[in-house]
Amino acid sequence: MKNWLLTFAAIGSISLAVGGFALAGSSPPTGGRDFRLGTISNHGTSLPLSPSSRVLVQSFNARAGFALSETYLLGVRGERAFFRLTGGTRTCFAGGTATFAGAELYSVSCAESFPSSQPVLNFSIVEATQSRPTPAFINLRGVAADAVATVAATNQQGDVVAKTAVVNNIFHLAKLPSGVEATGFVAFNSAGEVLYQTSTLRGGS
Amino acid sequence: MKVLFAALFSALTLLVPSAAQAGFWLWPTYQGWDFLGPSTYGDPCIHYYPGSTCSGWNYWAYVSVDKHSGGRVHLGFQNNSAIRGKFLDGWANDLFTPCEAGWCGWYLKGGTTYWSGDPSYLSTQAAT
Repeated sequence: MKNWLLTFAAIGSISLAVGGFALAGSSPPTGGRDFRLGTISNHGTSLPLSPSSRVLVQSFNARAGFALSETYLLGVRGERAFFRLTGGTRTCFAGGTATFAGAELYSVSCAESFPSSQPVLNFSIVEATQSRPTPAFINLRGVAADAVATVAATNQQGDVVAKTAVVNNIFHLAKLPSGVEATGFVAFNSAGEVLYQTSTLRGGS
Repeated sequence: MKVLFAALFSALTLLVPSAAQAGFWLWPTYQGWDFLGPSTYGDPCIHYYPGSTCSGWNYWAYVSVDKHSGGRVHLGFQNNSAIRGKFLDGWANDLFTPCEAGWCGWYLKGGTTYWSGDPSYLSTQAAT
């Protein structure tokens, strides 16, 4: 009887541990690593695709071999809406607008690295012009893991030239200040520690 | 006079692109994938970077990429004055429209450009 009780207790402990791990967002506990680097708590609210975006997603599915069928609105910042797309075993993210006709998608992004190994899915636009050949960010927008509190654009000296908060896993700054050459992007946690950074410069990372 | 008008009309139709040009562009040109790296000579772009490949001019609905490996590429559009797009790293499957670049309804070239790291094994396409 005592052995039976011990067996039940052991199974119960294992179940609780496995359950806790699943609730934590399927991110294995690592030494000192914030598990929220790999989680996105905002699952969004269901929203149908607009007729034109339905055609776009059908074409995307056919080419990529995906079965994306459900769209969830993560939030709206200014005129910009962010979406989560799911179907089959795949989760992707999209940007666009939320209209009366439904979700109007301007871009769809499916990245293996997000959020498991990279805490930001960057939709920020990189531009180079005839008069300004150095590629630079012209806005900040994207989806970020739970651990990311703010994102910023930096110049070539590493100085922050624009900054915006990540709220409910999304961020959007429609336009960077004129005259700045934002060649860097940095993501910070709530303590101000750098979680991720990248550069527009060719050969950079 | 009629001949003059006819000649002017013909010249204008050649100069002004039609809004109804159905189109499709694919790189590589066969159904498959290839490496896009700093020494790749793809289809011509307006703003040349080593390792870039671009569609012809059109009113594209989107440009997309199916990227299986490699470093960073830039996916987007370009016209005579600028190139705009976003970065993709590692494995990625992305679609990008002119509206995302702030160029809704513009006559553009779409394309993918090697940026950094290892060459990427990918296929890229644009469609109207």
